[in-house]
Amino acid sequence: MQQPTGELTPVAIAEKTALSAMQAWALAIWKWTKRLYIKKPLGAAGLSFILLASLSAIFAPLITPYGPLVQDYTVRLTAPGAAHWLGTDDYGRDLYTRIVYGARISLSIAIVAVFTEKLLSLAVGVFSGYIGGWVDMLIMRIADIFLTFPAILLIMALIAMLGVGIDKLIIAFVITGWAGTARVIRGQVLSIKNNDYVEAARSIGASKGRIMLRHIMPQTLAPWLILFSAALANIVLTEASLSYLGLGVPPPHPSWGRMLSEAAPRAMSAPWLVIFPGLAITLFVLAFNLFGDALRDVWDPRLRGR
Amino acid sequence: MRNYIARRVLLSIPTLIGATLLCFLILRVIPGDVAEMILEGEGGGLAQPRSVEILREELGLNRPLHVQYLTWVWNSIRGDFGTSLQTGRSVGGEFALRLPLTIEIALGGLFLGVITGIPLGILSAIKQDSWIDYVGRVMAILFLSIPGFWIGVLVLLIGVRSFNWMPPIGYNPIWANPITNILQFMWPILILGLHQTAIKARLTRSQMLEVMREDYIRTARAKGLAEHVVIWRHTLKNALIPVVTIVFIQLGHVFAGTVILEAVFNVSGMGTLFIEAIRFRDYTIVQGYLFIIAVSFLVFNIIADLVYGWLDPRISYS
Repeated sequence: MQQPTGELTPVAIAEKTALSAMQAWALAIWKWTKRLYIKKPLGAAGLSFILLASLSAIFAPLITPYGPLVQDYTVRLTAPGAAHWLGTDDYGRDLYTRIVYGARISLSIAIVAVFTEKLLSLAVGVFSGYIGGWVDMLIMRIADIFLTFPAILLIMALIAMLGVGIDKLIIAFVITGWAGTARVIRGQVLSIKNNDYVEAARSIGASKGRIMLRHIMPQTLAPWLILFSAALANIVLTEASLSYLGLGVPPPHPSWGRMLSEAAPRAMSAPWLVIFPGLAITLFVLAFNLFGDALRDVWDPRLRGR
Repeated sequence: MRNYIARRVLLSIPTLIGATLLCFLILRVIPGDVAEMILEGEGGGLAQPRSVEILREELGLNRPLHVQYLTWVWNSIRGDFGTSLQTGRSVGGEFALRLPLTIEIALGGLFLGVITGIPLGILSAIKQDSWIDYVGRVMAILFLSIPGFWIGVLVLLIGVRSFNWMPPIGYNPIWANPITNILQFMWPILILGLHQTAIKARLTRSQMLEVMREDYIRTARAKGLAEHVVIWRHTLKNALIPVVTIVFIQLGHVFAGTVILEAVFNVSGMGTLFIEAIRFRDYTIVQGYLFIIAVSFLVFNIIADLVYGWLDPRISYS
């Protein structure tokens, strides 16, 4: 994997312009985003949606007129209108409010699960690839075992064991998710570790830990981030499916998947209850996928133009 | 060649042992005693210690863990998956009834995905960066992002609301009652197929583009071959090799994809059985299905390897 764009790295900017590290980073991110918006408008649209949705999720209480759990039986099953933009459910809860709060749940689960899982797989992948030998073989065989099952079946089995709950859901995502990424990262490390600069670091007496952390790990970050974004899309979708089946987010938390299954019996008279939560899931997953694809195009020279 | 197959089978044995051990252990470390759970689930209230003891004996739960594991694996290999903890019926018999439904949906969806996705991917790659490519890519990423169960719910909603249509209930084998069968399975197959189309189109497109950048394609063009010869004879043949193998490797994922669609359309296949089993912690069924999935994954992986070697003469089995 090559460095993304030489002239845009913070180090290069700092050298050329004598800015402080902070300012250089800010400038690098700014330039990179600007380029993304020009070159990859769809990916940029995905990123914008993700940022907007995250902000609404964070500031949910400020932008929603009602509480997510507030029931008002006088307005049961109201169609979308001025008072309730997306209508209400059969407890008279405001759908728009619940969808915004649902973003909070979905996003926090996805971010916590993906972050933990991806940090774990980065550590495992770098370690396994750099150490090599029988340790590497053992770790990769274990990864193989996890890759034998489609993730959703294994997650469901884990939920049968652990029970239903947000924390348990996250644990199940982490247990089932690490193997694939760890394999990819390990593959990267195998080619990186033969570089001369790694040899140089070793010959001046750098410790194994330092070589892994300072010299190898940073080189694997581009593919890692691509997988990170893809995993976010995947987990939002899986969590919604599990919640739809009653195996994901437990009540009373508003969750898009469960909102859909609860709405199913009412769908005839109140179609908005099945349309909007599904739309929310689709937009989220789409945004993450678009952004992930753009990252892949920009960062993976081998895949450029795909 | 025979040596290669033998080595490949031998190499997958440790993975199989690990995989079976994993699905065995996941369900054995369930908090609480399974025997107690079954009895309390039936009668409500606390179970008699005496009857718990008897049931534990019956289920073999009081034997050492490794004996339980070995017995389970040995029985599963022979097709005996034990009895359902919830209904008391034979798990193997239950599987035999339900597998055909799931296989029909999975293979139907896969078939649709392959016959639409691969041509779409080829077209997209040949016309790279044209509007056809652009539309194709956006469609593919959209199909990838829409949750299948949501489309299912919408289909049912529109069907019932506008056409007074409901999927037929009960299972009608395709050889006995083809029209009812098709009405019943059409939507799950179509929805699964949509997702598969997206996956296969993206895969084919990227493989095509990769091959199109190879030196031998430039050579083919440079020596003046017609464009269609370059595409059909030189690019397509090489690009489709990995596609075919990945189709085999991903079969398990197609089966996993039917789980939620079966729930939406009320198809009593393996998926609905699995979901029920998860809810009731009916671990003989869960273990049994995971066992089948793991074994077939490894078998299809070996087949994929062989197909790869058969299609690509550059691969040698020595």
